Amino acid sequence: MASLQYLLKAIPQILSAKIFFLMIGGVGVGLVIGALPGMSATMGVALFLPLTYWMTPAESLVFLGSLYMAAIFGGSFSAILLRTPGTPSNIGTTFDGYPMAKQGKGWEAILIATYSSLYGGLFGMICFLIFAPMLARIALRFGPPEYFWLGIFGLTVISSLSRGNTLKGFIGGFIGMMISFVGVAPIGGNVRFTFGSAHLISGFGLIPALVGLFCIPEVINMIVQRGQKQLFLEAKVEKGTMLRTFVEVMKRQIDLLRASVIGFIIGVLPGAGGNIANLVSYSEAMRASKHPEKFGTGIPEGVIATEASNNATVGGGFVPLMTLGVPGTPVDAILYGALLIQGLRPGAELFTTRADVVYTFIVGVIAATLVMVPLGLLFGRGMTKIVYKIPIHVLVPVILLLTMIGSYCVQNNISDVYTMLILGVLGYVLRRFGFEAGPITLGLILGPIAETGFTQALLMGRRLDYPWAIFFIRPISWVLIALSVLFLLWPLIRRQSPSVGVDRK
Amino acid sequence: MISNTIVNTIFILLASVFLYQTKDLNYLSAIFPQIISVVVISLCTISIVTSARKKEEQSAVKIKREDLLYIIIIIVLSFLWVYLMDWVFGFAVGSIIFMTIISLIVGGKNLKFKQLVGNIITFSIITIAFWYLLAKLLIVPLPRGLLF
Repeated sequence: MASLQYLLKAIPQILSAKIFFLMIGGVGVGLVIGALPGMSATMGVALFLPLTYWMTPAESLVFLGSLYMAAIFGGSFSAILLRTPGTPSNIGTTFDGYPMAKQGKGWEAILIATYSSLYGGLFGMICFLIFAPMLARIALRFGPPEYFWLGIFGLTVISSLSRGNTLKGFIGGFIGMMISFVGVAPIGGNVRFTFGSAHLISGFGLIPALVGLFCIPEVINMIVQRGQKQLFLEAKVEKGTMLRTFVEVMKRQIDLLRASVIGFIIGVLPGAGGNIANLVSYSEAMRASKHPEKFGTGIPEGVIATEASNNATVGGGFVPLMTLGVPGTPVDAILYGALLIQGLRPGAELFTTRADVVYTFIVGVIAATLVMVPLGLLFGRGMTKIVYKIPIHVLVPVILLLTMIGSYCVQNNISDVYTMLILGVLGYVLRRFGFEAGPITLGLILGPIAETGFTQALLMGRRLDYPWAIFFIRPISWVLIALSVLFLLWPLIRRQSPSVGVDRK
Repeated sequence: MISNTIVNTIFILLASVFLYQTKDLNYLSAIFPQIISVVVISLCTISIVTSARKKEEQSAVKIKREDLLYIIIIIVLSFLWVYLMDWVFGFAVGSIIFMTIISLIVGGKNLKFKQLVGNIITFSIITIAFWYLLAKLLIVPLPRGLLF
């Protein structure tokens, strides 16, 4: 009851001119930052954190929360129009969004991404409001062995991501993991596989790798298509497309709900975020579909799966942050810092001692998710028109500039730009030999999670007679092992299913 | 088949180098890379054997020699762009120069003088907007080079 009172009190708060404009500003900045390849939500929140020093706690949190939510959504624009995920949370959006854009359905894909992000964002925030304390306790039961198995479970997604050749997909995934080993070992502390280069001590950054692997091969493809006037031909947009697409997306309640639940649960787990959720959700949508073979050819289900899940992780990530003071993702860590700067100590007591601020924040982010739709549509429409009309000889240098800015700004380090270019060329060569960027990136993301879990679990297991038994004696581990085996064998199980046979006929 | 064998052999060599390098590391730093390297070697060997059995050639679309030349030129120019931006031109001047050169090469003969002038203006506006946003508003230290 008390929560409801605070919620009702928060509504007039966020409608006050200052908070309202800060919310719109946060959404606007987030959309632009998210849409720029390589400029992640983390970078956006970090860059704008100093501007919040002069704000009140509620203003600061609403601004940063709005920026975070909008940046995750904004990343879908470049994923759809340029095959370059704006943030790591939009990797999966490239799989179906870009083929849609190529077919002249870029605007439709943007609409689907917008409505799915709205659904996922609202779902995540409402679940955060209702289930936060309970879920926070469950999330804390995830220890190192569970994180190791979570990493392995994440790898099973590769069987869906690798089109045509699963073996190559897995090889790509493990090569991605090997790339993630370069630098200082997370637990052992040794400097590894740097071949004497000082630049490699900090390892390969995820953002430069992501930008390189996805964007540079696309730039190279554009160079091959340089004779064409434009990158793709724009189809005519019929009147009423916005409303029709909204109805179509909302009709897919099961797809939206599945994606949002996956996103929220993965968001709750400290250490996992939208970068994993969007790929797991895409894979699950494919598994659940009657036509998995159509995924990757430009179908709405693919965009719905990734975009609903990545925005749902935002609310999920707030669960451990606000209730336990455990920031699960880098963005949450910056928000944790923002709370401390404002003199607020994240934890369960925050909901009672500073309930006014917490509920204003929650209502503010929910309102920002709603504001995100009209602003996103305006921005997305403009970007679609620009990308469709811009000639290739302008697009290539502009994209190159954006990739350089995106990878440079992560650490203000020029060697990250070289890394991005080198991995980009490598990504193009590997793609020509059938190794897709998706599995390699997944390996790169999961490598540190799986390795840290694995080595910490081994340390924990030292108290047992058989240290390796630690991986198999905990109930959550059993669930994750069972899920991993099930999903790995899913293509075989599906082939045996009589219903699939009927469907294919 | 041959290309598949070559790529997988390169991966096997890379994994072997990783495996060899772990001998100097402590147990906690070495164990996971060792496992993954062995997995990579095993999977690549399976891939080589299965592709040899199938004896089918992966038919990737061949790149024309002219296209390949363009790709190499743009990649080399991109590296040069980063190098000279960092050491000589700085972010703003370097970006405008190299964006114009790349645009000229990609546009080729079809690029008219009017379009080229338009492109230079567009590139200048975009670059200066980013320079102002990053260097002035957000105090991000961009490469300065010798010029600024």
